[in-house]
Amino acid sequence: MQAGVGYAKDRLNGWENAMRLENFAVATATVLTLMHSVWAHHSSGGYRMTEYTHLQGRVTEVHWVNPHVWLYMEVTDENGEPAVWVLEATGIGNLRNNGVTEDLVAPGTNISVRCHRLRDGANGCLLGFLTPEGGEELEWG
Amino acid sequence: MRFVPVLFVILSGLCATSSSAQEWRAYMSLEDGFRVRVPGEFAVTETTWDSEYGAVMPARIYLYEDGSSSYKLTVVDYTDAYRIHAAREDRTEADTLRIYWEVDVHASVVYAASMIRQRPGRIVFNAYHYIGRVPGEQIQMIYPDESRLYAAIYLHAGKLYVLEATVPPNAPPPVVYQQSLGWVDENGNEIRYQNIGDAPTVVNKPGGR
Repeated sequence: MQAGVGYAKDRLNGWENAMRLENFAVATATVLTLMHSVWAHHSSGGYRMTEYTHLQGRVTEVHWVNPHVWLYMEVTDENGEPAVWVLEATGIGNLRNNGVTEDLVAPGTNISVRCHRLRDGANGCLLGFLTPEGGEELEWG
Repeated sequence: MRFVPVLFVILSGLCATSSSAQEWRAYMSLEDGFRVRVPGEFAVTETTWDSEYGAVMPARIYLYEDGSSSYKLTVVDYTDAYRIHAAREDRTEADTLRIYWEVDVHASVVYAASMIRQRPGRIVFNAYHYIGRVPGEQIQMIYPDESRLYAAIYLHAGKLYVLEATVPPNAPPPVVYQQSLGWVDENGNEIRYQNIGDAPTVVNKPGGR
């Protein structure tokens, strides 16, 4: 009986240890995620962060790199002329946390985005949210 | 701890892939303590920089040119500013060494920005900026030929960084270059400070101040 209690305690201790380890792992992952998010690599003050610009077009380039992922997309402007836009996303870690994977936006993919345009009026935009054609909207900012 | 080495960012960047029409690459200078993404190979030139307060500082220019596009980073070394100012022979009583060697370093960002703003063309954006919690300034302007300049200027650990990209009209804005600048230590580990204001500006003060 005593041995049984000891065994139960051992099992309980093992379970508690496992839970502690799991909690520690979750806490560590959370802290790292928050740290990455809080440690924004740079100021986004060059973008109009109080308003969204809506764009539709075709991905032409993907720069799947840190500290920021970049997309180039071709958009047809109001005159029917093609124009290339540069889209800045958050880093790879944050994107993965948001469920974004690189294969969602291979060159040639049609996408629509909600983003914050450069304040100088050039064709650059801070994501925002991105929806691949036929897919769901995910956060890329 | 004054800075946080974020090795995982470098590692994940190295493991990352890029499908790009241009040959963008990650360039790192351990000597000048930066990394940046540039669409070609930098040529590096030793030069000098005339400071606002009359000193001549050593500098290095990193330059990649492709047709009418150019990507340039000028790194001015103010780490020996006190000794260089002390050796000047044109100082007057008003230009006292006690303070103005250090003012020269602190003023370097505003000075570099003012020189850019004096160029012909129209400024379409000019604001405070930071990268890796190192404060600085961004300037974006359109030259008379309608080419666009994207510039950014920072002072970090005694070095002034003047980053400029010029692209032809209708080209995508070179924000990838402008916003990819970062700081590395002597081992290539990325440096990001926890707070704005943590980053050292003036170094090698006399008497270890």
